[in-house]
Amino acid sequence: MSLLEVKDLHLDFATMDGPVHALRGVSFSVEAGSMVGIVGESGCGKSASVLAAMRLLPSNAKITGGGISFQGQQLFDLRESQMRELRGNKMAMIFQDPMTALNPVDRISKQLGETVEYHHRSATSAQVRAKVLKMLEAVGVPDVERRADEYPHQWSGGMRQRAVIAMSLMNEPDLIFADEPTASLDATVSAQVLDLLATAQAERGCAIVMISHDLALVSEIADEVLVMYAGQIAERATSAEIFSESRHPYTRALLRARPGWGRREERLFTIAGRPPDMLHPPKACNFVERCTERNGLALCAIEKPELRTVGPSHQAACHRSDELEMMEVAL
Amino acid sequence: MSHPMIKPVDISESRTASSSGEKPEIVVEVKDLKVHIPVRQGLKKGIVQAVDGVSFELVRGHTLGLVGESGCGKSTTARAIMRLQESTGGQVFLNGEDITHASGQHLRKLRKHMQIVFQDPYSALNPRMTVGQIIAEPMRAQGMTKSDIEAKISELLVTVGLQDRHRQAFPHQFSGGQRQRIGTARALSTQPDLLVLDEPVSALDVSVQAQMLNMFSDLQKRFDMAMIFISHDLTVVRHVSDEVAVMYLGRFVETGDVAEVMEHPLHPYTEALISAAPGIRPGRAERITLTGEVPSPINPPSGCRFRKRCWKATEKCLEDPPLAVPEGGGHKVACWHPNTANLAASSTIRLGL
Amino acid sequence: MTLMPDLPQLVEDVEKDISIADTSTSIPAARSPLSLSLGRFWANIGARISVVVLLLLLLAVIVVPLFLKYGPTDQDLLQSRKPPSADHLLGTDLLGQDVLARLLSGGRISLLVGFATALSAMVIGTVVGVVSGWLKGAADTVLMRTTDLFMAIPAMLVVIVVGGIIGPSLPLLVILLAAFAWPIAARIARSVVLQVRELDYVQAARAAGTKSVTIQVRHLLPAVIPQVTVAGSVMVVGAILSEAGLSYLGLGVVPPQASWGNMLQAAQSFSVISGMPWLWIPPGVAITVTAISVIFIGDGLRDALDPKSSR
Repeated sequence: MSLLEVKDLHLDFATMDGPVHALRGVSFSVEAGSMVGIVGESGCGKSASVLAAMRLLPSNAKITGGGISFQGQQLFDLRESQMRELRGNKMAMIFQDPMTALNPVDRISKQLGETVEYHHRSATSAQVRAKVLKMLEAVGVPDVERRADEYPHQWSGGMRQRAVIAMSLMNEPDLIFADEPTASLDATVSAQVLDLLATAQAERGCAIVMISHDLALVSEIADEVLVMYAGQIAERATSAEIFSESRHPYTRALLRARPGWGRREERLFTIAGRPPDMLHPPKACNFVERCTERNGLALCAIEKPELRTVGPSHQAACHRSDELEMMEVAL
Repeated sequence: MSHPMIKPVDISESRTASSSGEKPEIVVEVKDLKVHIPVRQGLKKGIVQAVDGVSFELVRGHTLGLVGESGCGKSTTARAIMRLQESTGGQVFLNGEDITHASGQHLRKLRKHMQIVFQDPYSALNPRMTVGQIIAEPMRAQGMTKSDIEAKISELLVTVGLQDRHRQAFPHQFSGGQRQRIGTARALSTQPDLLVLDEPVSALDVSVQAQMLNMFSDLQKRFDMAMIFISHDLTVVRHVSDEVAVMYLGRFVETGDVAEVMEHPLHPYTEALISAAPGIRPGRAERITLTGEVPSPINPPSGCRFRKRCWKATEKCLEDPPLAVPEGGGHKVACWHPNTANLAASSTIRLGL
Repeated sequence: MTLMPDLPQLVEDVEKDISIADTSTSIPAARSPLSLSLGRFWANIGARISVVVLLLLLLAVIVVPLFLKYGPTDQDLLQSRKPPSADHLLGTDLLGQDVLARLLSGGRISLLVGFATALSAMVIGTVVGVVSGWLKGAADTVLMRTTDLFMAIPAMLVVIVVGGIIGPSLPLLVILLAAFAWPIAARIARSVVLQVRELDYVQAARAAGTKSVTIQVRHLLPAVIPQVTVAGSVMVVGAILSEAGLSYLGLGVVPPQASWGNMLQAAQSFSVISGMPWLWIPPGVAITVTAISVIFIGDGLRDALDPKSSR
């Protein structure tokens, strides 16, 4: 049994123009202790999948099919009180902007302590404080005794994100969702935070699901990568495979469009057009109008390709996945 | 595949070509630019040394990439050049004229020659104006006639890959990438000699980013401007720039030909930046992970500003290193201990900087 | 983090020249932000009903008096304080004047005082706030301290003293009420300007060489006016109530001219309140209905102008 299993999830957002079909049959699983990356462009449904698993969706969202099980429990069957028991305890979340996760008027130590106290009522305040300091030390906060009692605004962006990571680790969760955890950080600091997440996964054995728009960034630390497009999974592969043996034209286009470190091209590869209108999602392949590797196949405009196995740990949703040529991507 | 950007639509005035043989025309020259901003933090008063002694010159047809982390002063430098931010020291020359203290009507007329594209495609366009009105604004400010403006709007829309009928639409109807195109059309409308691009692709998705980067390099070739491209992303800068300047805490720490700097970085900070960028790099060794974060630009460290995070720092670094070509050649670097392996490998190409 | 996928937008026609007709099925016609806001406003039931009520009220006070049998100042001392009848639909007051005629005529005065005060206060406040927020520095300090000064002066005291010296008059009443209402508008306008002036589109206008005055008119005013209008709705109510209060003290609108305020003032004795409800219920209800409508419209405007409430 997998730690987290998302099965055929369908999700709509109600808008003034009608329902936006944000997720249309998303299935994936996360094994205990693994690191999974979900990659896609804005509006592809990557955040919605994770918020659905945390049951933190906004009020205009509606699950229209499928389910999510966590450690064998069907999450959509749980009462809100049971869900609260899980959140922050068995599963935790790290947001893009650490300031939204920290309360500006409380000391860092108090905020971290509260997450412990909420789930472990019997802990004494001395025990809680010891645990908080130990965790802050573990995520690389210097001079913890003094700095723990400061307020969030006194900490720099990178330090705040460390505090948020420490907070998510407080109760030794089995699963952490990280939504673009380095997007608000500078390059040199973001490298530190990625290392920290990798260490947390390796040493504490908690599974991490990391969301990002940057394939290269995710592949640095994830074991497995899911590429999402227009509310569906386009491809699923190991980090190594996604670069050298991608079997989906969208993933391949994303890789090629990036101004990487390889030979400096005169013109960058671009993806024509824009993602489909999710008010009226296409019945056929999502990517057909922008695909440069269709090779005139009529089927692409008629039938939606299923996500099918193309290798031992590799799946792709493309009619032509077996015929796509090897691609050399220098990043 | 025909590209709308390279359709032969001539909207640029005939310019003196900086053809071979002639000395390239210097569009911007910056001498020891300083922007010190007084701030009050609680009861303490301090001075943010946002930009502290930056010098460079930029010739027509060339792009300078300004790279650095947030708060390093790259945007402030550009805004001080554009005279959107008052400088507290140094000089800025535009087409040979000292514009550091230009004011009033004269400054407004000068603005015709320098334009800017902003980072955030949402706040850069007034949501209450139509695309046509937005693009017309600089031309109206510069006193062009109504009929000229109308004709020019159509040309500009096509130039940036949009269509004439888009002029009636409002910004909220466009995607982030399209909004950046509109902002670019506005900036191009006065045929500037200098175009500043302030993180123009940072807010965009990867696929849109590529389109925009292609467009910027096309536009530069076509209009023969000098461009300053600001970004925190080295791979992006590397793609669009001829020269690069790496900034740290208000100062240039390394400048030179973009390929030179990226392939043979001399400054430890540049090395760390390159190393921290995700992706597979040529000859990638152990990742250099810097400790700590960029210190506050209020009361920066004395001497070399990078020394507190630098693994090479010695007593010598208490002394301020000058930005100069190190012994043994290479490009300019402000470091007492430049990477000697790269120094040997790098040639002595110097372009403009 | 945005969860909402982009609303249908125009096609990204870059690499290939996709005609907009190909995808136009899902593209709404070009609607300006103003028309979108008005659409949201009209979708708000409370605000819509309030607009209708207020328009009916305006129509009533303007048109209905033309068809009434009695004028507002026609006295008939023999018909003093008569309850509603077929002849006098809302009865008569102490001097035998028709209450309905006085209610409608008084409505003109009260609504005029309310809207004129709010409008003048909004205009003064907007100008002061925009200039102050745009110029910053010394000019800002002077203007804002002046604003504080006006806020600190006990308005009612000044109105009572000045009214006592010069004597009650309608223009004076409006001027005095507006003089103490504009600081609120000025503060709102200034705070909006301080936000908007840092936005890139204002910076772009500067970078384009646009004149300062043009920037204020083209970019700052349109952002300020909606916010000030919302505050203006509260001022309308405030002015109507102040007029009622001052008339109650004999300093607002003086008889024989009618206003809702002085009608209430005339009905203040215990015997009238307990025994002759037709003298105080109509003006009381009129004031309440007007106030509630204006406040609902203000609320509707605020919601409609907030871009986050797009659902």
